[in-house]
Amino acid sequence: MGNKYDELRFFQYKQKLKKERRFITCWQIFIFIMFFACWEISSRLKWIDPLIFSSPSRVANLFLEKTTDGSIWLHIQVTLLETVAGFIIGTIGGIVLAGVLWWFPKISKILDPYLVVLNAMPKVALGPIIIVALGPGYFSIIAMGVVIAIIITTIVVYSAFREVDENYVKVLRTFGASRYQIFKEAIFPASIPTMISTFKVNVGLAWVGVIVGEFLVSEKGLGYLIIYGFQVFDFTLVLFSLLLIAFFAGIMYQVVEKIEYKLIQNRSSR
Amino acid sequence: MTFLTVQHVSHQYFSSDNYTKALEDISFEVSEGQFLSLIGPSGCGKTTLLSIIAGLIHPTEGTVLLEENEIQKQKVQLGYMLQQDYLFPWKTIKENVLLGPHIQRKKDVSMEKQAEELLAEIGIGDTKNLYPNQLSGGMRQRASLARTLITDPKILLLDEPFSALDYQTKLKLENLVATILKTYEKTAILVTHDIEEAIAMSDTIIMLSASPGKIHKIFSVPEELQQMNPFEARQHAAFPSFFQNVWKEMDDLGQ
Ligand SMILES: Nc1ncnc2c1ncn2[C@@H]1O[C@H](COP(=O)(O)OP(=O)(O)OP(=O)(O)O)[C@@H](O)[C@H]1O
Ligand SMILES: [Mg+2]
Repeated sequence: MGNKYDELRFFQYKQKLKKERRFITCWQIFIFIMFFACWEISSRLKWIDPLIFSSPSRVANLFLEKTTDGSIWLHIQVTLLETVAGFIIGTIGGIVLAGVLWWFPKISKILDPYLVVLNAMPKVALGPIIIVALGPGYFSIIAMGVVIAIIITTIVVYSAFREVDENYVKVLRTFGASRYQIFKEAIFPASIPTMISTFKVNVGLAWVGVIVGEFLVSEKGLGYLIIYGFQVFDFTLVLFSLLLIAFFAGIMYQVVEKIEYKLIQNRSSR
Repeated sequence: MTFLTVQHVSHQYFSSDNYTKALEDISFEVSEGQFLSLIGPSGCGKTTLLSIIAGLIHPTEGTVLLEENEIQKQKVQLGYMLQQDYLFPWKTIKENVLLGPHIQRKKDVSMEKQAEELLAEIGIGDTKNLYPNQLSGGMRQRASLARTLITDPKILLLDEPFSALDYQTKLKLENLVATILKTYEKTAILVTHDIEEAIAMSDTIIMLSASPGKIHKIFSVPEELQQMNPFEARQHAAFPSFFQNVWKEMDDLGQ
């Protein structure tokens, strides 16, 4: 243990850290408040068109109204379920496909140009076809989320599989490992960091797919509310839905980040 | 009886616009319990030759026989220590050591006990629950050695296992490996850049010349040095003159 002065300096250092953290939080809160205050004021003073840009107080009123009559929960639930499903299916599906490509190198060579084209293509353009094929409903919307996330996941994870150091495979082969064992013991675990990093990207992609899907299907969900608000020129509703989307997308991202942190921490410090 | 026979082995590596002849017409024999070293300039095909002996690469020509059977056709009885330790970072040291039994579905309580004993024997018993990145280079190399030994291989292939270590650790590990091999009467082939190491550890030294890798000369280490452990051998009076001998040959290779 250090002497009194070392302890003191450490204490001072901690104080400094705390102060800095407080400073940053203060600014974050300040910007948040300023944003909504400016929005409210400029709307009231008619610097911006209140019909188009609405105002925080109107959005808040709508929020109260919609929560007391309970009608908003259904839309939130639908969108969240679709997004989570799209994310999970897209991510796991991509990893499975990458595994298949690794298992059959010939197939992966043959499919390479097709994957490149599929990846380059804007997947939302497939929207109408998906809806016609699967019918307007949850399935098509989830499928939109999946389609957007799955191709890039496949490509990224497959290239991670291929970049695993050959020598780990060599070690396993000296013990007579089968192809499945090589995958399970070396290829898959070595690629876990890459898979986790696709999670974050996929959260964003799943949101894009689902919201676009809801635009097109126009039945329920936050994306539907945006389109509906747009059609009846109720921009309070549009902005309200937008804020909800921002809120939930933010939360989902945080959750995935927490999971990532947990998993990575486990790996490096176990 | 010859234990391991390498017969007229040649190997080519192919790429789309070129090929490399890594080995040409290599033949030698190793008897049971013998310690053989392969030395030669960088890129002369030492790692390639070990991989062929291990059955991991099919040579473009020639065969390798272990107790009269072709190496490709039998169950693995070799332990191969690669040029770096290649411990799996997501497994503990004990899990790493038990990798072979795990793959061969022979992992059980007695195996686990054996792994712990082996780790203790080579002096890293208290690292068994740590992860490789928590170990020093020398400790990792020891763990890698334990992983190679646990499957009780008939023959050990060591690809420059000590080259990345500091001098002191290297001498200690040389002694450790030599003692273990002698105790369990194992046959071994060691690849090294280091002439001193080759002399101190082995009974026979094969010197390869580069591009393509060919046997340049085979040396038999003086009887009295063979008997000693590596550390003693380095101190022995016969050591310097034999070293000069090998050194001169190596020099003539022009590296
Ligand atoms: N997978 C490979 N594909 C193509 N060429 C290779 C491959 N592995 C090795 N070679 C070539 O074969 C030759 C012998 O390589 P090898 O690794 O066996 O040499 P080495 O004696 O082990 O070298 P070092 O002492 O540096 O480890 C070199 O010219 C190398 O470039
Ligand atoms: Mg080598």
